[in-house]
Amino acid sequence: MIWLMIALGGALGAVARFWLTRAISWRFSSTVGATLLANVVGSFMLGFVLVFAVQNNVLNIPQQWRVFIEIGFLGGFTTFATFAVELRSMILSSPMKALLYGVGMVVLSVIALIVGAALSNLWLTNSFGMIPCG
Amino acid sequence: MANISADNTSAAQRNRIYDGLRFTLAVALGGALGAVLRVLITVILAGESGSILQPTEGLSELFAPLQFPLATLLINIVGSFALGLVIANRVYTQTNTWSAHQEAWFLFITSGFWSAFTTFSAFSHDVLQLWVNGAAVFGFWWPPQAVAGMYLLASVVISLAAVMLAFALSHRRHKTKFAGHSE
Repeated sequence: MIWLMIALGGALGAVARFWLTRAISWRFSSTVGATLLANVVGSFMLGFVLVFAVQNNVLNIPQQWRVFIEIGFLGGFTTFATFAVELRSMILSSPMKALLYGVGMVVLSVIALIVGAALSNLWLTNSFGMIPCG
Repeated sequence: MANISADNTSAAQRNRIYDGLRFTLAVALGGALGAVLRVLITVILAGESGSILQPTEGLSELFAPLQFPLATLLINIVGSFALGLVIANRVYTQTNTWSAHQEAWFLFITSGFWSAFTTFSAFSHDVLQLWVNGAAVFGFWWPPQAVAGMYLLASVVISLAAVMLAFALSHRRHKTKFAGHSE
């Protein structure tokens, strides 16, 4: 059952990313923004869901659903390999842009994770509570 | 939709829709397999489903101490290398025709399997947790920020090097295969 949830989540996540990439490359003729967007949005959602699943004692989300969303869907939606391949092709043309892209990707994703967690916490408790910083 | 006329425009349109469905199905299948393999490797290496689902109390879930996320690191490096190989193979193969069937297989492996196999959300989660709590590396407790930086740099730099190695290997293979072929 758990494995089925993971497979289903991975399939949905991969398809969502695929269509996002298709839509963005059709609109802006570049896939770089799509990977950045997918990874940042995926990290944001992970932060949101992690806090939501733990803080929300009312709904008591079953473990299968958490596996489905956090490991299956978000794991399949975000991607590291495409990021690495894009980074390689960028480094050859302009190393400065590649550095900016790499740093931006990591920093924005971690910030998105924190913001997602903070928003989820704010929504559930009506306060920023005690988010340990540093 | 019962009587789709056989004129060229609707036939082409039907073909496009059919290809889109086929590509989507290919990506879905690849994504499912990739995600399952990722979790399988995490379970084998880390003994459980990674750091994400470890039961802790309250907000501290995000900031709980963890063991060094070696599984995620390895998965991202291996996946990057493999994706690099597949893409380099396509780049270095001089093909004029690329059928929809080949495209579907290509998407199954790239956008589906290897992209879903690697993960960025768990990576950023690991970076944050390491930054706050640190972990033992080589049997020592380093400053948490140093551990987070080490993990981050190791992931990005080694994956990048793996992709470059994959392109170099593929390039060499194609050069020997098509010896005398000038580019």
